[in-house]
Amino acid sequence: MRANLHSRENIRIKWFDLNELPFSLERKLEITYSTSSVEENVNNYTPNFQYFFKEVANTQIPLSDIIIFENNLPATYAKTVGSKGNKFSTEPQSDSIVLVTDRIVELIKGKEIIAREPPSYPNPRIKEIEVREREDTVKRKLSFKNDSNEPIEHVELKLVETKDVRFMDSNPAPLNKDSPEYIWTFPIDPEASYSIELKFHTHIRKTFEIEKEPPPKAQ
Amino acid sequence: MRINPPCKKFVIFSGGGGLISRSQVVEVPAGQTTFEISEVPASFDPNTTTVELLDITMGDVELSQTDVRRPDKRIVDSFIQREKTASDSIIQASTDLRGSNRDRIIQICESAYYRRYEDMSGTITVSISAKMPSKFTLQINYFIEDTRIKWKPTIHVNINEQTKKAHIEGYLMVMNNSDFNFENVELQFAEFDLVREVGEEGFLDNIEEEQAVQTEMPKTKMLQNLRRMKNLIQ
Repeated sequence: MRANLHSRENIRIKWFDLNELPFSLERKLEITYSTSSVEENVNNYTPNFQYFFKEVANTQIPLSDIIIFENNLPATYAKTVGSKGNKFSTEPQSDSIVLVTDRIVELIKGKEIIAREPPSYPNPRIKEIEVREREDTVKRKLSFKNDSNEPIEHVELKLVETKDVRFMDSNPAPLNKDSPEYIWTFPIDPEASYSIELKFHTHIRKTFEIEKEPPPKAQ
Repeated sequence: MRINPPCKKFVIFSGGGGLISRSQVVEVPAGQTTFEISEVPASFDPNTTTVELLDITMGDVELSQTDVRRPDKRIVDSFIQREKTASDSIIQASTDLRGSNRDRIIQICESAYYRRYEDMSGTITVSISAKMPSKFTLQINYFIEDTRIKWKPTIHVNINEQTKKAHIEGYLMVMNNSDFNFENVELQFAEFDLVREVGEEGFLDNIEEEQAVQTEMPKTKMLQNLRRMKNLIQ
């Protein structure tokens, strides 16, 4: 394209104009629990949202700022890392419309099994290692509240289980089970909430070093 | 012979600077002819400057020598500093602050205040050897290392929640905070992976902040900052 680029001036050039492109707004929350966080009374999370645009043919979009207008008013300022093939998306941003609260419902502590074993390597100070193991069952409830007047069509929750916190069951059941990932998708009506109950099996293992008794002092 | 070939193509880098192609049809007599190219920014890179003789319609010519020279940076910086001090004195001593010369005084002082080494002129001298009178196109290509000339894309998206369709407009913001003008030039825009990010200088909304950064911009080595071209927008 030809242009005049004068000294001490910024110019704005129209680069492309694409009409009637399909888009989607995706809200996602990915959570994972540790043996500590799964037994917390309350956990708070903030989901992310991203816009996805498709069928952007013949236009290579580089790293750019994006201003998204709704009803001709600026609604979101975002960035894109650029197009991949014929699609591009905004970078994930914190979603202030969906409020997520994660509360504990039930905690059933298992019987603690105590065992002692010799240290794994010779240590003149350590007499033996005490191992305390316990298996708990935890029930938690995640509540997703739509804080707007508009319906939310699609929210995705992804749970990634760990070796110590295993997913057992949920209500409703996950849409997609592919251990260690479990996915739920759901809509939320305006000013309404959607809840998911999750049940976990946790394995807690704690080790303690038992020191040798000091030698008796010479008289 | 002093010539000023117009800038035909300017590939501007997203990190600043770019590749300039200038060309002009010239006629030379038999023997040795030397062309001094004017209006070459001191920010040009002497190591990558190339000269090409194209479209030789008549005669037999060859390029015998290319001389490149940049002004001494320490001396130029010293001069620029003195000019800035002088411009401050002009403003303080001026009694014509509301008169007819007001705009001219501001223009002189502003120019002196923003001036940097990159706004000075370098020298490219091309020696041509011809066996007979010849006519051809002389093309000079050089990189300029100036972070004050750069581009940045912005995308405006208007979404319709009912139809789930979007109207997308892409714009390129091109900044030239140098002293050089590029008239009716074919612009191309290259996106480079940058070793270190270049700041937002020149795209700021706050005019005072924008003007301050123009004089405080770090003297980077742009070509060292560029790693790999990712995209070229024509």
